[in-house]
Amino acid sequence: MTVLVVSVTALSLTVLTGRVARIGLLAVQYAAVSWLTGLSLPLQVAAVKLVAGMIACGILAVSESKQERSTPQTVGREFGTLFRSFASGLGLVAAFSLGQRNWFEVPDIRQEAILGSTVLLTMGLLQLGLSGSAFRVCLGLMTLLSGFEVVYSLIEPSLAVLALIASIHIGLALVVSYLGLVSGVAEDAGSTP
Amino acid sequence: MSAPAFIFGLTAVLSAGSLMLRRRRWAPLALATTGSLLIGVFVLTAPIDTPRTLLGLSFELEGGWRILGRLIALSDRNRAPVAFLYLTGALFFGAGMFASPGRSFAPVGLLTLGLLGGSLAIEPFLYAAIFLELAAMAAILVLNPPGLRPDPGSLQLLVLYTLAMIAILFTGWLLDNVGVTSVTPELATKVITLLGLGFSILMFVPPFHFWLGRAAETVNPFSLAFIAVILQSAGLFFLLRFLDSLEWLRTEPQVTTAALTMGLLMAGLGSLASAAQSDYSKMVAYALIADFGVTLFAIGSNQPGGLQIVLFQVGVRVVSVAAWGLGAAMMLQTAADRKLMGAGRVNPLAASLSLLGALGLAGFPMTGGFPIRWALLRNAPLASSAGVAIILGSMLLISLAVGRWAALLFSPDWDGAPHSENRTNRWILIGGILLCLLLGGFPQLGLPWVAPAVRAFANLHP
Repeated sequence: MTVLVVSVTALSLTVLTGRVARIGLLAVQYAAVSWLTGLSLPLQVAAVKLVAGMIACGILAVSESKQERSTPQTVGREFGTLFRSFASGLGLVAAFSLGQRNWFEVPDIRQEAILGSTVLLTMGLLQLGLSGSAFRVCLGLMTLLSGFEVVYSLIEPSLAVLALIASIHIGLALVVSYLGLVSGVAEDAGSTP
Repeated sequence: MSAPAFIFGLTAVLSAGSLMLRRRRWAPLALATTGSLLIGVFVLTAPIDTPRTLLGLSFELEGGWRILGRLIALSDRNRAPVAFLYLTGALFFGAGMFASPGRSFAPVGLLTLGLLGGSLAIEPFLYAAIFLELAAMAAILVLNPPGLRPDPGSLQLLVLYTLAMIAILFTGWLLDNVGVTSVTPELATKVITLLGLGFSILMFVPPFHFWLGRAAETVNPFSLAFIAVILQSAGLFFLLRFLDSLEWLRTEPQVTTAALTMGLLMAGLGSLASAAQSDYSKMVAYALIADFGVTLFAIGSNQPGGLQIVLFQVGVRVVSVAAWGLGAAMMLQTAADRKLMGAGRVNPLAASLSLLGALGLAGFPMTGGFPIRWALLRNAPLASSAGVAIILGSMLLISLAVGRWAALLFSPDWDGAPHSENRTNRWILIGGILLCLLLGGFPQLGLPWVAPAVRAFANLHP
């Protein structure tokens, strides 16, 4: 079930264009990732990820609302929705086929975590490859990191590392908000076909 | 009191202080310069883990600082590199008073230095990758000061550093949990592949260098020089620490071959790309990649004294890049566009300093880059004659490219402001030119930095 939620959110994050909707989906994705992490860690520790994710989503939401008031977004060149849907579908199929076995070779890991992590890693990389806009890059990096964390939390359950990686999520949100708020053209930055 | 807590706490305070002063022109940079200089000297000279008495009060500076179960330690193994970063910061913050790098330069630059210092002090050292990622995030704020259109290259930097962090952290797990002592050929190949990916990104090895060229098109050259040199230096120290700590890795022939090959690739491609550029900043960005390539070649060549050459080059590079960045930024202040045609006619000292810095990166005789290449090529084994040819070719190509740009900078096609070099600027620029010439003429002046830095990597210097 959690893998299904992760797949739907990651797919929607790649395909949808509305920023507010994507921030909402990202929050749902963070909740699912915390659940997946909770399979290997105590739930209260996994909740750290949820809190960090929600803070990151909060930062993105606040900066988004300020940008709407101050400057209209310039949308950069992007792939069409149809192409993104097709590519995401292919990515999901590849991820599900790869995630059937423990390709990380990490011992004592649950099948659900492997599958969820593989889906997030694949879709994160896809998001990075399909767009150069700052907002999409940020979402792609957050998805990629979430996928990595699901496995890495099992390997390295240290609180310090957990906190440091959580700070990366918040940092990413801050950087993208900064780029958007300061210049008002963050969405257009680095747009590539 | 814990020395790392004091250093990083002071860095945070200085960063906050310079942020509060950001609307003033000189004050934040003056604060950052003084603070970085003091921290750098403190790191080098503080009596760590030794009881001392001051004004009748006994005290002891502890070398370790434990946070959330992890240790941040200052010891002989990292004091010189941490001090190096702060002293580099002091040089750039000081010169930044004349380069107009933007309001975020001092506060976020200090934060970046703190994070990079943390990357060198964290135990286990593999977690340095997380600090490097955080530093890359901070670097984006330095490269994109308020009011300017975001630079696409800095986003690419962020993506690349995230991938590097993932690769290096996963390698760490392979080494910790599968076992360093029982390395099988299969595991060694996996580890080397992942590490190769991670460090290729941190060392700007092609094809992971592209962010630098993109950033050079739009970013203030002085800010770019600062970020490129501190990020790459921290990445290099991380690599040296890896090699110093893992015996099987430093004796693995694949590692030295990879370093040699990547080094030559960078020197070759960097110089070719540099010669082909029609943008002054991009020309130097690629020259910088070729210079990084020479560093990797020195690591891979396994020569006696190779470590000293590498560390000396790191120091010389800072001066050359700062000189280029300062000169280029000062010329841009009066130029109508980024092409800088004829900018040398109205800014002769800025143009000269900038060109001298670029020549230092090329390894031109009488500049700081030359003795390094001379020492490297003189001791190179006969078997690496192709390597010698590539490095000589790279020196020649980049020197010719700098020569071409000298002609363009001093051409009569100038359409910017009439004149800019005031008396203070002139003295600063003359000081920079003298420093570059001094390093080229008397390379032994760099030895006080090299000696303690070599001790930090004792296993690499038997």
